[in-house]
Order: sequence, then structure tokens, then C-alpha cells
Amino acid sequence: MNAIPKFNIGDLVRPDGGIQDRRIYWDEDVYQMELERVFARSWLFLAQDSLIAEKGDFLTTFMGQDRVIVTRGQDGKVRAFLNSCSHRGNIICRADSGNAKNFVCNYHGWVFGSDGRISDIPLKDEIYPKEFDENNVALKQVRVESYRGFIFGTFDDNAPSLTDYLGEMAWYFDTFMDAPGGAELLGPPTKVRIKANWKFFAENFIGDFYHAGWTHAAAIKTVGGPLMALLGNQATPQGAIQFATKYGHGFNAAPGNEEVYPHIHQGHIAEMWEDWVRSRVPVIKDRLGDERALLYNAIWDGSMFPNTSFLRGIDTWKVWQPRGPRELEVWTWTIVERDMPEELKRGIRHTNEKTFGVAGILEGDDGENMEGNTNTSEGWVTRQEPLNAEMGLGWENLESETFPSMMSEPGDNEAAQRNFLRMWHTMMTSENWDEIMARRTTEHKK
Amino acid sequence: MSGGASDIKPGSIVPLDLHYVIQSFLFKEARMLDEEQFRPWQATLTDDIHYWLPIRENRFRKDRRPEPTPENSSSVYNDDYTDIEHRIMRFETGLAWIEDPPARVRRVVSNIEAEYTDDDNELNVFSNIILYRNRRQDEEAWFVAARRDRLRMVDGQWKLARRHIVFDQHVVLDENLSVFL
Ligand code: FES
Ligand SMILES: [Fe+2]
Repeated sequence: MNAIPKFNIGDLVRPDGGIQDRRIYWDEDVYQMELERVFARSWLFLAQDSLIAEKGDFLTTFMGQDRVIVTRGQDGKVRAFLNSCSHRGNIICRADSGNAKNFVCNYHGWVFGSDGRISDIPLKDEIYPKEFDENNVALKQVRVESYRGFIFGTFDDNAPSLTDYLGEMAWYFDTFMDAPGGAELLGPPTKVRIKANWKFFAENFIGDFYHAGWTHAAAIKTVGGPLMALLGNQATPQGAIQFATKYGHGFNAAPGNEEVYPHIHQGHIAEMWEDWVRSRVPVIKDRLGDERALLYNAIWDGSMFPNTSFLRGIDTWKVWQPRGPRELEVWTWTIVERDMPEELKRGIRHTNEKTFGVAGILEGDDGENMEGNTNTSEGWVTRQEPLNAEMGLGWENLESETFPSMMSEPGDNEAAQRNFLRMWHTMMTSENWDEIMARRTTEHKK
Repeated sequence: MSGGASDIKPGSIVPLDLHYVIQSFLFKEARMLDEEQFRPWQATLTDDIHYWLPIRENRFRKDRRPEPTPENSSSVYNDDYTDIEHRIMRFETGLAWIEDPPARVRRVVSNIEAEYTDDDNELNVFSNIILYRNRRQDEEAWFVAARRDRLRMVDGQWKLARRHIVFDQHVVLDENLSVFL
């Protein structure tokens, strides 16, 4: 660990996750430690198959603040490696996406193949010693695995497999990712810079049903329909459940949403979406059983630890790219099912952009809250005051015979946030994945 | 169209008096939006308005993929009349906390060109816009864009039928783009 903290990192989150020291959302030392202990060791979202469908397709993205190139080689295999030249460090690829066999550094022209290895060094035989070994200047590889076409990477060879890391979340993801044909993302992502700590967003999506009726009151009143019951936090969402998984992922689901969808989508897209869901529920039931047929027809908000979030109903997929302790970039794609008619996919994309895009009628409401959560900590006295996430404390971790993970009721709950923060705490205070795995096995059920 | 003889070539610039009318239309539009007169502004849109602000990716010049369209790419705005109506309704609920207290917003419109089209009732209008937004104590944003507009004469009034906004940021650098450009 490089940072020398002025505090004991383990003291910053109360063991049950319910109380946090504000410095975890503010302090530069904590953030540098996060880059090392959380971002460099977790599975992070990189891409989805349809975004780099052809041989040679590439995109550039970030893992924490590390720039990476993700590309499909001529062998069809997806690889990822650092987007920083091993000669003098320059950025190698400055395009967001495209198609290329090679990546050429602008500084001296070193050429890297789609495997991140040197394919040419100009004048090499004339200017480098005979012993110079190109293998030593291959770009650092990312360990890449995918789950149902969703591609993730980690820098830690000792991390569990992606499937193990997803744990119970994989079972829930299958609700739409294992629908016939599977799910896909529509890009390119929209991007917006916000002056807030990335964790506030991940927590907001993982379990904060509570804010919807208040923060988003204006948008709810505009679209109308059953969501009006939530307006001004007059009621908790009926039948909603919250889920929390071993490695910190979680979500809320409010079932029975044929009534809500028509108010989220407009005109005939609403009808198409309703028809689609109605026709799919029996298919999902057949394939995956009753519980996931129920969840298929639910509105979800969720996060995958550490920095990927999603909604179902409004079909958004987001990555919270950290840019320091007090700033992030929000990257947003649309998630659809591959077998949907093209017109429905376009309609869903439109709804996502209108609600959770950069000018989204809901998205805008969140950004300012997160900035306020963050920047009030500039006050030294304020920073000493703890934050609270005790909603539903003691009512979580209900035994369930039907669902694989812990669950909590009512849906207005901060159990998933506490679980997220405890996973964060475990990673920040563990030396390696063996320790993280051992601790999470016992700690996550407490 | 006002003064539109059928032998006018599409693409040729409009005469001074018509240019003045179009310029006044754009200036007034900017002022209405600055002053949050959203309903009067909405009355200057045609029913089939398409209001579009696409994402501009960083692509290599040699990239052969087609230019983004509303169908094949992502947008910040891809609005029809109903979508714009919703944005105005949201504002009017009085529950949009981020608009309260209000921001200070100013638009500066320039580089106006107006050209005849192959439709006697429509003009292509090009302009640039700088939008300054100042919120709360000290939050500042500058947004710069080009606009490719289609104006249509409807019942003796010019109306905006199409606006394609060429926005000059890739990562939007200030929290949200919830302002009409
Ligand atoms: S820094 Fe890339 S070739 Fe020299
Ligand atoms: Fe929200």
C-alpha cells in the first residue's frame, strides 16, 4: 500500500455498514487505496459482445483510472491491455472505438498487435542491442472473462472466476441475460462529468428506492401512472424486495409492472413493450422458473460491485468511472434483448436517453444530490460528522427458499447499501483474494 | 413562401429582409428560453419537430462507419413534440428541485446563414450558439454548438421543424445538459 493514511482504514465503516466516516467519499489517500485495493482487484465491466462484434473491432475504456484497449482479435477472441505505450508511456489509441489490426503509438511508431504484443518497432535492428527482448515490452494484459456476452476484466490473477465473483447475481442476471437470444447493449455510451464520489452513485442504484418518490417527484408527476403512488414518498413500493449478494452486488425489484411500463414508454412503443413482456413471461417461466418469470416482469435498480449499475423497466446500463475522490464520469448504454424487433430496441433506447441520459428528466435530479453529498465534506467539521445508512437495519437477510441470496423487505431499505459498503470495507482491509473470499463467506450473512 | 419565386435555387442565400426576419426569430427564441418562457417557445415548433443532439464519438478519420443517425446511434436529445412537452411539464410541476432556485442561463447566437431549399415553404438555417449557465453559488458551464435548423412557414409564421445540434463536447463537462440549445 502506497498511501499513508491519517486514520485506520478499517475504522471508516462500522462493521454492520450502517455508519460511514465521510472521508471514504472525500479523502485522496482513501481514493488512492481504492484504486489499488478495489479497482485493481475487482472484475470491472469492459464491453459487451455486440459493441465489438467483428474481428478487429475495438473500444477504449477505463478500469479505475487505468486506460485500456478492448479488442476482438482476428481469432475472434476478446483481449484487453493497458492503453499506455511501454516505451515512454504515451496513450496508444485515442479513438473511442473503431476497427484495427494494430495499434500504433504516435510518439515513435511502435506497433502493437491485437494481443498487446509488439508487432513492429521502427529501425529496431539498427538502434536496439541484440539482447533487447520484445517480450519485455508487451503491454500489460487484463484478465478477461465474459458472462453471457458481457465482458469483464480484472488485473488480479488471484481473483475468483467472473462467474464466482458474480455469485448469486448471475442467477438474477439470467432473468434477462439468459432469455432466448440473450441481452445486448446499444452504444456508444453517453458520458457526463459530475463532481461527486463514485460510491454515492453505486449505492443509489443498488438499493435506494427511497429516493425515487422524492428526488424524482417532477418526472414521476410528468409521466403519471402507478408510480404516482410514490410521489413525495407517500408510500413504499408495493411488493418490492431488496437483494444483496456475497460479493457486494445487489438490487431492488418491484414486481408486476405491466401497469408501469406504458407510462414510462410512449405511444406504440409502450404497446410493443407490453406485448413483448407478455409474450416473454411464459418463455422465461418455462426456461428459468416462476421466480425469474416474476422478476422478468419487475422494475429493477441494481449495482454490481464496484461501479456498474443498471435498471430494468427503463433499460439503462451504467458505469461510474472514477476521476478522483470527488469526480466521476457517468457512462450510459441501453440494454435490450437481442431478439426484440429493431423498432422496439430503438424505442427503448429513446426512453433511456430521455429519462437517464445526459439530459434525462430523471438523471439530472440525481447528479446534484450526489455532488451535494460529496462537496459538503470540504468543511473540516462537517467531515467529522458520520453518515447514516441504518434503514431496515435488523430486518435484512431474510431466509428465502426461492431466492439464492439474502433478501430484505420492505423494498425501501438500505440493506443492499450496507452490504456494498461491507464488501468495500473487506476489500480495503484484506491483503489478497484468499482473505477476501474467506471473510466474505462468513461476513456477508451477518 | 414569402417572396419565394419558383426559380430560386435551393442552397442560395435569402435576401437581406428575409435574413433579418430569420435572425429575429433565432434571437427571440434564445431570449424566450433564457427567460424560461417555455410555452411561447413551444408555440414556435411544428407538430412534427425533430430535436436532435447526437453523441459525437472520437473516431479515426479513416473510420468508414456511416455517420451517426437517430436510428443507429446514441443521442442526448432525440425528441419529438411529445418529448419536449414532457420536459416542459416536468419543469412546470414545481417539483424539479434542481431548477429551484433557478439557474442563470444566457444564450448568444451568431454565424447565422439562411438558405432556400427545394421546398418553397422551408429554409435551411445555420447558426452557432454559446450557452452560459451559472447555478447556485459558483457553478459555471459553457456549452458551444452549431445548429442545423429547418424552418417552415406555417399560417404566416416561421416555425422550427427540425434542429440538429452539433455539440462540441464528447464528455459533457457539467453534470447535465438539461438546457435547450
Ligand atoms: S512512447 Fe510509444 S513509441 Fe515511444
Ligand atoms: Fe435517481
